[in-house]
Amino acid sequence: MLKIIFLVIEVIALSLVPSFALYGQSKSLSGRWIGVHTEWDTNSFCPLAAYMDFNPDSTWQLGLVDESEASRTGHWGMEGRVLRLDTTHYAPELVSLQGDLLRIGRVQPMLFRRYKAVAIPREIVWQRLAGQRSAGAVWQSDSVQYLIAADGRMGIRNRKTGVQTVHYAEVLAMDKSAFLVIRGCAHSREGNIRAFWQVISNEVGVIKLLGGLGSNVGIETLRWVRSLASNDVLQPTGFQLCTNCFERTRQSTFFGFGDSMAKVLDIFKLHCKSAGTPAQSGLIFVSFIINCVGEKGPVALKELDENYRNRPFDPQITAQIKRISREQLPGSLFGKPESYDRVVSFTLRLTDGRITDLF
Amino acid sequence: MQSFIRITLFLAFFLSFFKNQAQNPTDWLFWQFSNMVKYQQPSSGESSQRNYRDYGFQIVMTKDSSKRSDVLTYRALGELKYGNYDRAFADYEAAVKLNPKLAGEVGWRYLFLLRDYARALTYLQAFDELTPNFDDPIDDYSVNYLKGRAYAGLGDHENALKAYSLTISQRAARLGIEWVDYRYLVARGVSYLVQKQAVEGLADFDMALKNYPKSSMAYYHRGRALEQLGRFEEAKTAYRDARFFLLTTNAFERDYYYEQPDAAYDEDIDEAIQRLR
Repeated sequence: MLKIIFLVIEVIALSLVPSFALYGQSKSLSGRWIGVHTEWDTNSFCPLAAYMDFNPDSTWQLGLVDESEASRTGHWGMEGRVLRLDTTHYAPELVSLQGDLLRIGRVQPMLFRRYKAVAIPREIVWQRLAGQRSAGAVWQSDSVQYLIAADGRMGIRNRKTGVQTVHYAEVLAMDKSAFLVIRGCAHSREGNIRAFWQVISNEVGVIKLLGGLGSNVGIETLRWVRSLASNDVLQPTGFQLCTNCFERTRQSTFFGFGDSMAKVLDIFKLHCKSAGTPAQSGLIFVSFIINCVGEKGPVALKELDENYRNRPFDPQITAQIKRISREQLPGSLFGKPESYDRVVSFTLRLTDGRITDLF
Repeated sequence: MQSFIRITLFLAFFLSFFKNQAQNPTDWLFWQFSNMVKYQQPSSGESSQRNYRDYGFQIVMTKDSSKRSDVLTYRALGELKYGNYDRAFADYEAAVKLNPKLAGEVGWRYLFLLRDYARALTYLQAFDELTPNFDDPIDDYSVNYLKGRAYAGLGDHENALKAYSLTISQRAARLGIEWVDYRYLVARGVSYLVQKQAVEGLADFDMALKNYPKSSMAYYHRGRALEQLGRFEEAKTAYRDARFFLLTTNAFERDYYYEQPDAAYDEDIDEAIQRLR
């Protein structure tokens, strides 16, 4: 049955491909494209603050919106259904055009949208965003509250959960248009980008932004709430990653074996009080993130029985493992401090409620 | 060997990523543009949702059971690294059903990555029985060496010694003792020490050091053998040599991916030196 479902999905998907692919339509690609995001995984997107020009004279330009690096230029063309950028040829299935969206690549594809200029002076946008006569302002969309200080520091607070992360905002200008870029983290103004939007409307009390929203392109409408108050805290409410584009599967640290493993095992054996129950045998895979300043994130556990099937262990045991991982394991056991966030993971073997091995 | 290549490619994938982190953003963009032509399939060791979906599709659509079993092992490797053992071993077991020759690789995984010695032995024996008269390779190990490791893990050093001796004698007869992997000699020597046969163990460690003179673990266990024989001054020297080579040589004996079971560590060596002071 599953095979049939996959087959039907694939047939539908393949039948859709030609309608998106390029058939020698160089005109359809001409013009400026603005980056939306890179799809790191099917559920993970990293904003792409870049532009790409396909000029009618067959020149091609790729650059960053903040112009922090020199742009690159070359020549482009359509050869049948194949897009050529200098000497690189993109097979038809690697490039698809759907309306004003251009998608390039299959593994971690990049999504661009057709650029439409909206003349808005960036200074005016920033004055509104950060509060014209105050030390900052609070704006909100349907789901998020943005606390913006005059120096650019910004709190992004989930209105439902109250969880706040901290970044830095700036408004950039390109070709008369204004772009809001949110990047960095509580510890640094530098770093990769959390959000990248083009400002498409800047009325009093309402700012509309166009850019990546989840897997697609959408409009984020910000409404002015109030001036930033002195008791508004621009600090994260909990653990925050330093990067804004974190892909667990690309960041895992295999912290290696040897002394560290033995020490970690000794710490668990020392601090974990055994429940001593025969039914408590199997494996617990422990993982957590250490961010760029050495802070530990939440500890995640995967619990399996001796036949590698998921099972819950006695909460007394798992609570201890989480507590020990959080409080008793020095970060130094997992290597030198790094300038990037990394995942630490290891597996504990439980035999009759006792930790007997770590690997 | 296939797994070794896959692991190497996986490592290269990570290293290339970190290398590119160091580049400026425009370089990274350019790199992405050029690489998306090269990489049209997710990396085999990558445990992304995309990979899981793609492999799932291939597993369903591939008619060739041998290829399908290979895809199952690729997907399992990705899952294994992220603790999805339930999914990994469901895939491994399905792969072995499709292609019994993969029993060796699966046994290797159980042995080194999960230290599940009983299950490892079952798979290794099943693999060995496919060609009973040959000491078949599994990655860069021989099946009898791996069986020895599984027996040793279960505390059955008598059978471990038999398995180690089989692979060592066959290799020595075929290629000469100087071409026997020193890790096999160390492993057998360690089992001799457990059986209180320090003389035989010492001979193995000496031969291991002839084959690889910079082995920290061979010196460490040589020290243990000498200690068992009451030759304490020589044991001290062996422990010091172990520490020297631990600090000065490439510590592949403490492999980044899976542990060499006989590897010597600072704490072990320091404790031994203190003991003899």
